[in-house]
Amino acid sequence: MIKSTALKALLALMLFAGFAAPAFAIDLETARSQGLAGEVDNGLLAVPPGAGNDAQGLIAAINNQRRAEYAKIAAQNNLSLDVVGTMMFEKIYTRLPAGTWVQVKGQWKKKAG
Amino acid sequence: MKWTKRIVVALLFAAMLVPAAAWLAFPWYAQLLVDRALKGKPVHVQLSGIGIPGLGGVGFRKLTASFTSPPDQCSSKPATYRISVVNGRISWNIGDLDRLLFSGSLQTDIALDADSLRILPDPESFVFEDEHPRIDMKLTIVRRQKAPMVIQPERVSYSISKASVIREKLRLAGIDYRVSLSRDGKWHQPPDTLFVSKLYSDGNPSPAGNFRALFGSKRDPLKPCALILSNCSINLFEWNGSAERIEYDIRKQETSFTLKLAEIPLNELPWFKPSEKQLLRGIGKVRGSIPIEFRDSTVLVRNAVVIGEAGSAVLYPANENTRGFSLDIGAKPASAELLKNLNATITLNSRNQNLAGLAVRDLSVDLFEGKLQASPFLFDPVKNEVMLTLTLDDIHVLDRLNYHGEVKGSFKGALTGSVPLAFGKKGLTFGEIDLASTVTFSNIALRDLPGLKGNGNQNKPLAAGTFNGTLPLEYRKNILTVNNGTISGSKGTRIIFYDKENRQWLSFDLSSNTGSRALLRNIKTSLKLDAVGGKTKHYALGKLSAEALGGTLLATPVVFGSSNKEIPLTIQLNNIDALDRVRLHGDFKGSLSGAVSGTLPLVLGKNRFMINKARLRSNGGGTITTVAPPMPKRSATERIFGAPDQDADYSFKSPNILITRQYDGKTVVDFMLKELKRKTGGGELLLTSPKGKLAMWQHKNNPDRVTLSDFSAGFFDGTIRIDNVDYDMAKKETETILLMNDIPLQKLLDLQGTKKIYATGTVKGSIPVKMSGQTIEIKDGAMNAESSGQIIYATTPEERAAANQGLRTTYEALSNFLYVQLTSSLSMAADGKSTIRVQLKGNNPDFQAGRPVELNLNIDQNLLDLMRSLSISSNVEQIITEKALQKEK
Repeated sequence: MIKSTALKALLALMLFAGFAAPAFAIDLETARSQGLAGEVDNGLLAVPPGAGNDAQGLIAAINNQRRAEYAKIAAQNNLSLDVVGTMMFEKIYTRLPAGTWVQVKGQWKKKAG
Repeated sequence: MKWTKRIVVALLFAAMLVPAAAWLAFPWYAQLLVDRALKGKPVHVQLSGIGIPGLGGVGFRKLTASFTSPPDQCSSKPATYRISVVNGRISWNIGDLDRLLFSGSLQTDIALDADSLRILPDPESFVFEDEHPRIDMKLTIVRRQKAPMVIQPERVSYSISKASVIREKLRLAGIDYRVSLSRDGKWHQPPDTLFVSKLYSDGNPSPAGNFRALFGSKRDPLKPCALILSNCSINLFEWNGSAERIEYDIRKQETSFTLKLAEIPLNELPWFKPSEKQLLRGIGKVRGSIPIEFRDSTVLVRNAVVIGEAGSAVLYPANENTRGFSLDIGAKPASAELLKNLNATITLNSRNQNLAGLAVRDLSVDLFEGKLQASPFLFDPVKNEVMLTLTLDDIHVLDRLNYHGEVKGSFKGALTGSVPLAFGKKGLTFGEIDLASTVTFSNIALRDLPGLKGNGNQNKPLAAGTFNGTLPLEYRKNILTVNNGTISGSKGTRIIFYDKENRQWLSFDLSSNTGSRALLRNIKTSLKLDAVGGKTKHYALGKLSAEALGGTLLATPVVFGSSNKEIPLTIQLNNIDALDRVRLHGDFKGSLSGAVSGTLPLVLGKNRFMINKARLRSNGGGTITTVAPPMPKRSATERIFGAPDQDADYSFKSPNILITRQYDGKTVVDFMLKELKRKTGGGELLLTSPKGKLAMWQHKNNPDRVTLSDFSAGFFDGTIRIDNVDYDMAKKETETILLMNDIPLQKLLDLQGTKKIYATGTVKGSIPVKMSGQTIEIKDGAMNAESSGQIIYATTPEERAAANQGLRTTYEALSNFLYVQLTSSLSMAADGKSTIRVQLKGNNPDFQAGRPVELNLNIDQNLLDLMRSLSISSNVEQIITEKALQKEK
């Protein structure tokens, strides 16, 4: 229980802090709002349907960071990476503006307003 | 004196001349004498060509006598008989005449001999002819004063021998009878045996002959008009018929009696007499009883019966050494008679038609629980032809028909329809036969059928069990059609396949319930017999269709027996639930299910066959479990820590195969499955869409060699491939290279069961595999990343804190390692001991400012145990932790 609360706090902290990202021509917020990147229910990013590969580099970089972080959390809490990713997606989802691409159970859709 | 003398001389001369003249003039007044003697009698005799009498007799050229019997209670009209005797001679005993002169009366014997004698009644109903007859008569002659001489016949005897009676075209030949009439016997003919040796019809011998009957002229006072024949017997063919008593009513001209046909061995009847040409053979005996009524030249047969001795049969063909059919015609408890209620109306020698033989109508008989009727027909012995149509109604001939051959079993069925046939000089010929029968068969052994014979072994499956069914058949216009037939397999009916050790490994269940759950239902086909010159030239089997195991089966028309050496045949399967019927035995077990559809184009040659691109597919699948062979002896440590003996389940989905087989057995199977899964207690291995080409029996000198080529399958979102592999099933040896592409690195790590290592990116590999018996070797296998990716080895702060400096650095480097190059080499010895060397190049952006890092990783483990369990039994994490991590600049 305690562990779970601690985990949630950690996740929340990560979200606020944002991820330290290398300089890309476009940032995540913009990529998501322009439909070039979408959130997947495993806690990672992917290119939504119909989008070009403009944000591909950004997505790969952020995913690598996220995976490293998730792995850290997973190791600390004796969870698998997937479980951590799923929990992260739930947190990320609440913060996403309407109209952002999300993929749940393999299905792409835009977050309703 | 002179005149006196002359007168005396003249008188004396006259006295001498008168008797001489009378003697010489006998031929001129003989007729007068006869007329005078017969005056007032109903007999008239005409003589011609009478010779001058000699001492012992007188000859004549022709004697014609007519005798009229007056009407009596038995005949309303007088009957006249004309008797003509040609070239006859009446002889007497000259010595007797002396006694007549002296005593005034005498008894004398006279005899009539002639070249021929004919008796012709009027109205002309028959002609009696006898060659060289001799009639003996005893006469009493009384000479009285002043009164004519009285001639009194005492006795007449006439031994008829080889005479004949002709009635129109019918001739009774070889008649023997002794006529013996006497005054003492009141001129009644005493009973004597009448014998007729042969009956001819228009010159042709009929099957009837050797007629014998006791016959005399004395009538029964109570039946004054009955002509009585007793102890009658006749031969019909070789068959002896008898009637104790035949009463012929002269007035009504009719008779009725029962002809009993004695028991006769069938092989003595003409249709079954053993001979070269004979088609049929008869065993057993038959007897019969034929009630006959005769009236107005018409024979009525009423309710005749023929009985076969129990066990009697007719066999076809007659040759004892040939397989064929036997028709049981013996008595049964349920039906003692072979033929019952045999009725017919036979008109003999019909006067109004120019017909010598018989006209038969209303012929019907009960036969094998049914009824057989014949259309009216004529038998003309001149043409020796019969044409008629038989009508069959529910004749259960198949119940009694047995097939003696390789196919055993029992058949039942009744025939209904019509058979026009003609019997003549060409033998038996048939017109347009129209027959229908529902044939029910049971207990037909599957292994008796062509192509399924013999015991099972590794080269030949065993067909076990029996089947039964119903085939409604119709034969019309040379075409036999089957409509709505049903075939079921009895319990245990199956085809069993054997392995090299002659153990069952697979069987195909053919048992089924009957009726709506039969193996084959609604069978429809036709068989056309193309006969040329009475001989069947070839059989054309028409399109065959049937409902089979929930689906349908279609076969294209086939022509057998023609000059074509190769017969194409295509079988179409549609949704047949065949996989459910596959059973596995021995080292295999499992269950399959699903329907099979496809096309099977065959070419049938003589004792061989070819498959031309048969495509079979199924939406089903199944699981096959291989029972693991016992593990080789292992040490105690191995038994404790090694993988356990494990059975593996192979499951597959949606098989789709393309088979081509050549006459010599060379077979190529192109296969494609939706998926193939290998599952053991430790994990599962899934191949998606595996496909490839299996070539079998390509090498005559090495039939155990199987070649798999162009094999590919989806494996963890990637692909594995084998370009070519030869496998020797006997030696269990093979060597090949397993190629992999696009295999996600993460999946391979998951396969190892690691919990802390995460990776992205895909690898490709080339792994040379050598199999020999139960052992597998890998030499110099290589697996390399196809692009850059990420590897994370996640550790907790506690783990990092507990680690030494070097290890902590490694942990940190691997916390987010972005590799640009990943190469590995893999080798495994036959005992499973393996070495994997991994080389990583890349950096960690969070570690030492992202400087390039190179890592080498060596993993030694027993891969065989790993593969057996498909889960990690070694400990990659431990290896990383404890020894193999080497950080380099």
